[in-house]
Amino acid sequence: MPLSPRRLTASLAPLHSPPPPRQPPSSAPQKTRRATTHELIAGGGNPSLSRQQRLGERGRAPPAMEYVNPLTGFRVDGRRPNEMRQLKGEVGVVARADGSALFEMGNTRVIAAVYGPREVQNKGQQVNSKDALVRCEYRMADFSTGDRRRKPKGDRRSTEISLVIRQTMEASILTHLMPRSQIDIFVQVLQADGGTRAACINAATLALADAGIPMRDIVTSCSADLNYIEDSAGGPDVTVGFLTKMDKVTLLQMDAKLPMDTFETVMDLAIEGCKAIANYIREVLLENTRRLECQRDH
Amino acid sequence: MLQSKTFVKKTRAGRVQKVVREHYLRDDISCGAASCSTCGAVEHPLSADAAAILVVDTNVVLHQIDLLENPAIDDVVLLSVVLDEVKNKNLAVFNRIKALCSNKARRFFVFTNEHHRDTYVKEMVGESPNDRNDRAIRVATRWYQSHLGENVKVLLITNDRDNKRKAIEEGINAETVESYVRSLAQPGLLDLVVVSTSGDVTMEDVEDLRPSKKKVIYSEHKPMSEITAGLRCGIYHQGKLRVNRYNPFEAYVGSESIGDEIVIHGRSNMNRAFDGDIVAVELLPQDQWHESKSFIADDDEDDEEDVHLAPNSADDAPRKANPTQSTAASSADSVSSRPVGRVVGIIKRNWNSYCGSLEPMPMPAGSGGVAHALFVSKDRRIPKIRIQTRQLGNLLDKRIIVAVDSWDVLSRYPSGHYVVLIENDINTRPFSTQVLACLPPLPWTLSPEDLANPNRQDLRHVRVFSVDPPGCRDIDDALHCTPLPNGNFEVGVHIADVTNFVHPGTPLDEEASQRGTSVYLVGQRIDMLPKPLTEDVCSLRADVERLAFSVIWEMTPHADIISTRYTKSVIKSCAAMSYVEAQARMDDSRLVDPLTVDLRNLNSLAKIMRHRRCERGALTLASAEVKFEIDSETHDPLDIGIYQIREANQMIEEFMLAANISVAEKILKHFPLCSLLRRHPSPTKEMLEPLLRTASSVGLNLDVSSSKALAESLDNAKNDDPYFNKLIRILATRCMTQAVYFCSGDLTFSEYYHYGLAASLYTHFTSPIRRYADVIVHRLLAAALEIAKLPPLFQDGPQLTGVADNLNYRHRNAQMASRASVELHTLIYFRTRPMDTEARIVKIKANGFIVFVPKFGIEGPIYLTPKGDKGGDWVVDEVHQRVTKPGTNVSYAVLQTVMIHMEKR
Repeated sequence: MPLSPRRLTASLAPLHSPPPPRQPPSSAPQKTRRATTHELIAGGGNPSLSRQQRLGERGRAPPAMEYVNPLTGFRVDGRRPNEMRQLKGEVGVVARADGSALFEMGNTRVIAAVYGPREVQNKGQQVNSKDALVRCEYRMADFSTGDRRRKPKGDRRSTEISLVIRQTMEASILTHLMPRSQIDIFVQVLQADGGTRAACINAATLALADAGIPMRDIVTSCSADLNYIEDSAGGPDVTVGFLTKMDKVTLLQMDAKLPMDTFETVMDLAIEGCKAIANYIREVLLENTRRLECQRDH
Repeated sequence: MLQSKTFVKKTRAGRVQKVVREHYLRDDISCGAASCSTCGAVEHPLSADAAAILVVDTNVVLHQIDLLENPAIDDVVLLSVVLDEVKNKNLAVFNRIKALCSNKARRFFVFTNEHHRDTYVKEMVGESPNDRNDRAIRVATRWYQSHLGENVKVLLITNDRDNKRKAIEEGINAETVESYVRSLAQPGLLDLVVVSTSGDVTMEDVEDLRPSKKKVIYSEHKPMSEITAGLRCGIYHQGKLRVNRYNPFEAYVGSESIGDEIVIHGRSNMNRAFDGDIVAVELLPQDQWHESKSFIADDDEDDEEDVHLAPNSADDAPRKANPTQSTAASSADSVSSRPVGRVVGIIKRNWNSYCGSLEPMPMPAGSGGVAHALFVSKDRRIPKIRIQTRQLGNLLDKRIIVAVDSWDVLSRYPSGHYVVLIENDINTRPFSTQVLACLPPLPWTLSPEDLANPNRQDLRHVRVFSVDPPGCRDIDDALHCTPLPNGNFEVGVHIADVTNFVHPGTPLDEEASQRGTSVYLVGQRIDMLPKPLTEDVCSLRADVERLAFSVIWEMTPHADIISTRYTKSVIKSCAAMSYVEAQARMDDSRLVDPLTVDLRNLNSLAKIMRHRRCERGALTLASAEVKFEIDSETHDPLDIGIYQIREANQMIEEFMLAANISVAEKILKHFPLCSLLRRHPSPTKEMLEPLLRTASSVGLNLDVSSSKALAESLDNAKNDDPYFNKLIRILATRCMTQAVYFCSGDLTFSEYYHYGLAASLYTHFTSPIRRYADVIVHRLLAAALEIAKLPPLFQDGPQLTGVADNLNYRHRNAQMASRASVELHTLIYFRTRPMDTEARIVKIKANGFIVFVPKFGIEGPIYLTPKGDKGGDWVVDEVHQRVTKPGTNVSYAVLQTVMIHMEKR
């Protein structure tokens, strides 16, 4: 079994570099960033799975490779360093669900379905009666990666991602408007090609919007790689969840250790990406609304 | 901008797996030509008035890289498909072409054809990847032509006949390398063109000048499939071929499959393999195994002989210079137990560029035409190489570099082409302007900011001094020693603060990192850093304020370290002494001035430290270092002598070792995974064997179980011969490997051990002006003290390992270059002064022996038999390391003293 790139990056990082910041420093006073930092669960999940993911995303496993070709300025897939992959979003793909969406970032394809708000099924799970209960289930389809292996349900990695998505969405859903009810978010990865976390969050946002669940803002997510800005190899990437209008960070994940100033640039880049995705999601939703309007008129 | 995406399949090693990748095609890739108005790019590497824009194919890059590097070739478009292919095929060539493309002075442009909407081609059904890539190259060339219009000529350069034909059919201008270079009408350039032997393109003017020799000399190499099959079923054995340094017609292949070294005799059995090639070997039948006798090279075709400096470590000498159990020729019943084989195929070539000169030959009639010449490498393990040149007159009697291109079964020698370069891969070029731009404004003086820096301690009031070899301009270390009221001493080692001027990532830093070390030649120095830094700004000269990085200990009078601290500092050295001066001061009992007292205190501390180190098992090894007096006019050596080691040298050395060890401990504590340390691997039993054999032949038993045991038995190795001990030590030194730099994350703690110094940790900190390793260590230490941030390099394990490897390589090359320089000067010296001198036998061979001349530190062969005679009259006694002539009582034994006569022949 090959070594998980996660472990690899962690072991390559020198012990001394500043620890991942628990609180991203707010450079501008008007920006209030609330960060929920999820530490890396090292070795969590199926190692070959995450390797596969990485492979898909940047082409190859060894971290010493150049991600951006210094001679051409392009990445292996032909993008410039700061370009995102092609986005595609579609709502209403699961007829039975209250809201659903399909979201693609390059070859990563994720489907999300939202049920609710509905009555709490298991009262024991209800934390308080004032807020809605948000539940999330993340799963990778067995066929999502090249090697057709059965993906165990409830392994550490998917539990962790379920939790990450739930917390991120909870931060944006106006749960106090829906007391004693529950919202179920189901996310399934159809095709994994890197950046599944971010794609799942974006799909969930679209599906929630499709279900008409009240939200503070559109929460979008994007992961940025250290190599987007400087082609020193290594490849720790930073996944950021971001409330665009409110300028708030709801999710911040990082696999490895980074110097403080590099981290800042990577994070800024990820936020830029989140904003771009938010614009795209808004477009998709507007388009959908227009369509619905048309249908109602007829 | 994201146009579309397509899917490409890829299989990975081991498992076959389908990988789907996004492939973006775009319309915003510029063509890089200045004459183009549509692209609107900012940079135009390709000039507007170029006679032709060249598009080269993969094989042209791979084979004609020397030509491309010539400034006469410019306005070249490199397609990304070509670069990818080059990268997969030959990384060394890829790095060279990469350097060319990023060189602003050259007009090379990388066109990402694979991602351009108009030039991307999809593999057709039944098309091989090679054909697809060739088509992609043609499509891109055609696109260039139509994009730039008729005013610019776009020329496809290819040596592939088929590709050229197709290109012309498609209406593309295409030419071969030869014909293009010919059209440039620069005769010198044609020499750089590698003549293809595969017959891709007919060479009209190359006829073999030696038709009589058109016979098969070597047997054909077996095809790869057969080799792999043979390896699998055990008929063939795989290993790296190592040519005997003393006899280029004998080679060894260390084979894992039979656990022994296979001996290969003669060029025909070596079958065109070079030293370092990975080869497949077939064992010869056992009855042919007997000829394994060791000779000093004396074959009829190659009768040069070399005088060499004594090698300094096992790495310099062949690991097993002699077959161990070779038997006397007279004892007919014995057959060597060493397997003998012949090369059937070459798995991986180790062809490099080789340095040497052309064999003297008369100028051919009609000078200017093509001449065939034989190149003789400096490294005698390399066979002569046949080259073609049009400028023979220029090349004769010059040191040139030749690259090997091919070795045909029909020709006795490999053929190659010449590339003028520098020996030992040492960069002697002056520093570029970008590098010089990184220097601080000169003349440099201490600025108030430096003094105000809270991390920098002002030590100008401390009595700091330096002791160096006479005439040393690059002083990178200084010391102080102050008695403390409690009877202890404060001892400081101050090292030039090079990292204050050399910042990571700057051109200056990159250049220094590439050079790795300064190279010291006889009467000359090739600097790692530009001269202003080396000799002035960083050099801790007397009576000027200089920045330093200091290690300060509090030591008891018994040299126990009570505390250690590290700080950046400002110092003002009060004296820059030579070793002789310092020694004279210490020895002169009348002098009681504070400086002399400091020196004496330091010396007594150093003696204790040295003693303690030896107790721990540090080896006192010996090598014969030679010193020259050079005539300032002719640069010819006037006198030659062995470098004398004084107490003062040892004193300085002791404190430098201590500082290095202290720093190694500190950086490893803070950065356990990315420290740069230096280790010295323990020698294996096998490596020490020649030493043991020699020692036992003179009745000396050495205990090599540990460095301490060895140190003790070396100390006890004495007899009435005063030089005996030194000689044994020199032989011991040669059995050792060289110490190497490494990255602490790559090895386990037990492997960090420095055998020679008997130190569990060691690094290099004390010479940042002349060694790049020390610069890295300075940065690590500064980061450990939280003075500076750690540069990004250290976060990347493989890259750091790469830097360490480069340092080892450069370090070794620098040593070889200085040895070569000493060798050369020794030879010049003896050219005019034939003399008789005393020498010691260090190695016995069947037809002679190798002697070492202690007085001059040189080594050379002595033949007992005439040339070509395999030494039939002499009998070797391996046990006693003795060669005897039967019937007489003339015999020579190892370590014996002989009188020899030296003169230039």
